[in-house]
Amino acid sequence: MSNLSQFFSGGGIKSIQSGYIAGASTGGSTSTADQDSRTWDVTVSSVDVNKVIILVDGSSSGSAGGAGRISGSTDSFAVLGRMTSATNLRLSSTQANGSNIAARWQLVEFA
Amino acid sequence: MYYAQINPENIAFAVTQTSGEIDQSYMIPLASFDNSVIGKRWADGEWEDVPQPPVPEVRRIFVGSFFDRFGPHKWPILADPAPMVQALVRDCQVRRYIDLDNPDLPAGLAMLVSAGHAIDPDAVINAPITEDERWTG
Repeated sequence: MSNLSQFFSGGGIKSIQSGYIAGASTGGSTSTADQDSRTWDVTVSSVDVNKVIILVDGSSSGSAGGAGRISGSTDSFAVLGRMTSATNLRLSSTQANGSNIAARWQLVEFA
Repeated sequence: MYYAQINPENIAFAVTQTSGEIDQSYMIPLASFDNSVIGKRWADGEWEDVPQPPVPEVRRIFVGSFFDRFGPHKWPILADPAPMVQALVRDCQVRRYIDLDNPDLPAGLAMLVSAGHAIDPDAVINAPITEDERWTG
């Protein structure tokens, strides 16, 4: 795994990809003690997984109407992001109840 | 390049701006970053609307409204010194709201009936929620 000094001493940013995702989970274990209780796999252009950072802003909840809400009658949960391959960005919820997502993400690849 | 990603039911759940071309059958090219295709089905080269299932109602009511649902039995229940009845009353009073879909609720109401209070558990649980009753916290 590269560190930040490697990023910034290199050739700068190589690529930026971004997206919006909303809807029911496309996979997951449905276990409450699993970082992949609910998952959403997004296909991206190939990147070097050792030279990227992922920015995610959003949440998951139990209903489509509640996804993305910070407060309200429907609980909402944090969304995690990581690369599971050079072309797959996995967004996940540790809560089985977080079956619906609303999130924006950015994938920044450094040279 | 912009793409909508579709699930096995051909319904879009993600819109992505990529740094290069992606040649996958489930990645549908878009002319722009168009979020409006989310939730739509890709069929015969066009996006079509998909009927949305109704959002389940959250059936939470104020504690006072819950007791009001006992009708003329409310005061006898509140005044009942039986330990189990008092335990149920206190349990309700410390809550912010009563969730009518709480799986423990039918057993609690059955306990009141067995204690001699002729309430109608089905009506207490399933009567439509009025706007005055609905918990809005």
